[in-house]
Amino acid sequence: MNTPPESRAWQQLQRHAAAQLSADFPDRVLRQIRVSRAERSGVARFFLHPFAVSAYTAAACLLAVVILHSRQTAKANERHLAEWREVAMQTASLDPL
Amino acid sequence: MDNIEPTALLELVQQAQQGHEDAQRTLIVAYQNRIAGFIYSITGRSDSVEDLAQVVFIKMIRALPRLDQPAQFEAWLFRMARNACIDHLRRQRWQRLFSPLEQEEHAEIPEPPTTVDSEELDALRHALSKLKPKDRALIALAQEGRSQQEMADSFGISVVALKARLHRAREQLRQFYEHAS
Repeated sequence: MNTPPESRAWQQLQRHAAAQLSADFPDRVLRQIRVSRAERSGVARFFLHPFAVSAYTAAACLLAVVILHSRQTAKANERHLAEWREVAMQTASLDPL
Repeated sequence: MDNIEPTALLELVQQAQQGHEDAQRTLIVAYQNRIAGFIYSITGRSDSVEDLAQVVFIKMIRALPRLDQPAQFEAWLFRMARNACIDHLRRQRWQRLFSPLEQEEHAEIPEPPTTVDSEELDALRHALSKLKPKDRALIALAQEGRSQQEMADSFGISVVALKARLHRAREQLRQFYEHAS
């Protein structure tokens, strides 16, 4: 089997690359994973804290009230406008001219 | 540690999937040099090796519980490494596009040879830098001894197309290498 001319260079490349890793590389990876897990659970804890849950509930209620109020206001405006149109038509028909 | 027997590897992967940190550490130790070499052959930058290797192994540990076929661990790991390298190069290309002034400081500029490096290594590095990133990844996977079927699956092409592409990439590499050395 023919050995490619660059085969020795590949071994050197492998050694060069491996030398770029710090001696405690596996520990660094595992430490990083532990840190990010702790951060994620911290974020989860924050969002599941009773105060946070109360705040979401209050915000959701407020949002519901605002939406309901704006819908009712819009409906009332439509109704009033229709009534005014009717009054205006009746007034126009009573006009002696 | 470089080679683990298939049965021992399977057991190790299963333990790592269950969250055993010792097994996870053993897997990292077993594959860190190969992954470093793989990353270096695709990116061509020494300063990217450790960061990208860290990204790959963090992804590996996070995704291990979702690996359905532990016997396919090695193929899966190298696919993950390949994707991380291609993403990294793509990100660099976008960064250069939006901040062209940084071009002189980063990326595509070949790494200067050090006094420690041999001419052969410099020539190989130069030859690799002349190839397209996907061809570099292909050659690096072949260098790692991955099967043609596995590489074809990884690149989403047929085995016939893969053979042709690999042959072309190897020829180009050889020409650039001989020209540089």
